[in-house]
Amino acid sequence: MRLVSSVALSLPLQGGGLGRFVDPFVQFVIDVVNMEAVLLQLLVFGLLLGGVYALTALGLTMIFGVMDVINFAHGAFLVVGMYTVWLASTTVGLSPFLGIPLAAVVLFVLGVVVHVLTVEPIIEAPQQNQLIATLGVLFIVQSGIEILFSPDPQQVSLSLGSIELGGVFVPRGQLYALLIALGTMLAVRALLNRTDLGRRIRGTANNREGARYVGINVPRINYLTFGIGAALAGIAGGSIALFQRFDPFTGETYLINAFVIVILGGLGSFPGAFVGGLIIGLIQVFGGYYLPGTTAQVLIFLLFIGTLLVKPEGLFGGAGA
Amino acid sequence: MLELDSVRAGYDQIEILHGVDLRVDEGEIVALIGSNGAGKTTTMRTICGILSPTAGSITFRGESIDDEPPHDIVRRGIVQVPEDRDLFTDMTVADNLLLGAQTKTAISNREENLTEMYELFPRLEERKNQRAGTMSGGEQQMLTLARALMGEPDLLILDEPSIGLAPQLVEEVFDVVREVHEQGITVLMVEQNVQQTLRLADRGYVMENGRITMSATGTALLEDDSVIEAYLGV
Ligand SMILES: Nc1ncnc2c1ncn2[C@@H]1O[C@H](COP(=O)(O)OP(=O)(O)O)[C@@H](O)[C@H]1O
Ligand SMILES: [Mg+2]
Repeated sequence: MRLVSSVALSLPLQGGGLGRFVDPFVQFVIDVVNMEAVLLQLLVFGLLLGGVYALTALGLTMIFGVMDVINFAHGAFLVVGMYTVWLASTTVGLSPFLGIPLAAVVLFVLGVVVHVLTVEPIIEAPQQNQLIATLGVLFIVQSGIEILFSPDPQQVSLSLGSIELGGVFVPRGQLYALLIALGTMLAVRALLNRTDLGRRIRGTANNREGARYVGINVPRINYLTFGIGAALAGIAGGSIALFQRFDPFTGETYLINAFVIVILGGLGSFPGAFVGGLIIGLIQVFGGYYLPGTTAQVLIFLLFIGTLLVKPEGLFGGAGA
Repeated sequence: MLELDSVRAGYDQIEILHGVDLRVDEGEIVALIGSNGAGKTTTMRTICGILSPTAGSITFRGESIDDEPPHDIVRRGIVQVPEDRDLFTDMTVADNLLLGAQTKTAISNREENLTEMYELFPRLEERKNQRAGTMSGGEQQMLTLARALMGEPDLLILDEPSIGLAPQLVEEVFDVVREVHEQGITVLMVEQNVQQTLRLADRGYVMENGRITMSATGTALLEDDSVIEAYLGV
């Protein structure tokens, strides 16, 4: 232990230039060697955040897996989920825990409508067409929310407090969000692996032409998948609202991280979204603690670019939805 | 049962079929032969609704099907074994077979049909939990056939089902076609094994450059000089 500390102290770079970026890593290693209690705390925060991130990426990766559509509207769907929970809570006093299933229903319907109006008519066109159309939906929804509810941050008033487990502090809001995320992911897995509809979705994701030959109603699978993907964003957005303030543009930040997760895990891959979510959550929490300013986000982008360069198919590349 | 009348179809701006007339009656085996690029696959894809005809009509049991999507055509009882197989390669053999059943009756009978398929193709039962893409070409072809049969077709369309198979497997494919036909399924098939196909078929059509150039009974075509010269390599 002492050896590492003395090495760190004698580093010539310390203090200026590159040292600013090297020192945090050295500090991290020192903390690991000393088994600092803060590491466990950070690990818990990272996993709490990562689980929710995984859920934000799941709908995106599902829609891509089935119809090769890069859905920018996903960011809007997240925000609509947040505002649904908030609105139901502030206007009719609906508990946020009931607001989340409500958000899932609202978003399923919105997802189907958006799909039928904007994606389905151009589903056979080159990919950039759907990308631009869904980006348009993102802008329209964000502006709509801004006009209706102002650009000010909103918050679901919940005083859930936190629990302490062996010196580790676990905020209840984030814990519930994680549990909701895990439960939702298990439910989607069961839907995909254990139901006829799930098998049809997997088949369509694997071979659209084959799906048409066997007589699967592919347009129907498309809109159902889009609806389910949007509903997942609704649940994710609603869960985020349990522990965070949000404004009409909060979805963009989550959307960017969700894209990184999807690329990192492998486009269309379910386990990829889960593992990718945890990785990004951990980087953000550990990076936020050790690195200066917003360097953690830079690290996430480096990982994104690195993935594209070294393993463009991602960690679990191409293994179906 | 199935009737194509002056059907024109193709890809984007290119017309491939320039008015195809073709008929399949209930209970028949009908063969479609022709050299590479003649438009046989395009014809099969057009019948199943994967492509839409730009002119002409396609009727099945007297009803027009030419503007219907593929899933409606499957519901009417037409199922195809496509030329490039289009299996669900990342999914298990069992999943592929189960996905073959999409109509109400096919779904309600699928457990019995699955058992029947495993009897007909024992190799598939051995490999039911294996990913379809990891099987040999012959096994994949058998799976494509079995998947189509899971759909309980009244008219089975086969597009070069023996392509790229070893001789004894080709034999097996023809045996299955015979068996399926004996069970009352009407068959329309495209094949490169011209001699064997025409011997099996009640009637045959010859296609050249997107048009039907000849139509006769299987045996008559087998004895036709131009067919012998062009397709039987004598
Ligand atoms: N997807 C496609 N796009 C454009 N042209 C195609 C496509 N598929 C086939 N063709 C063309 O259509 C013609 C007929 O092909 P096809 O129907 O596959 O013939 P066959 O099955 O008799 O060998 C060929 O000239 C081929 O190049
Ligand atoms: Mg062909």
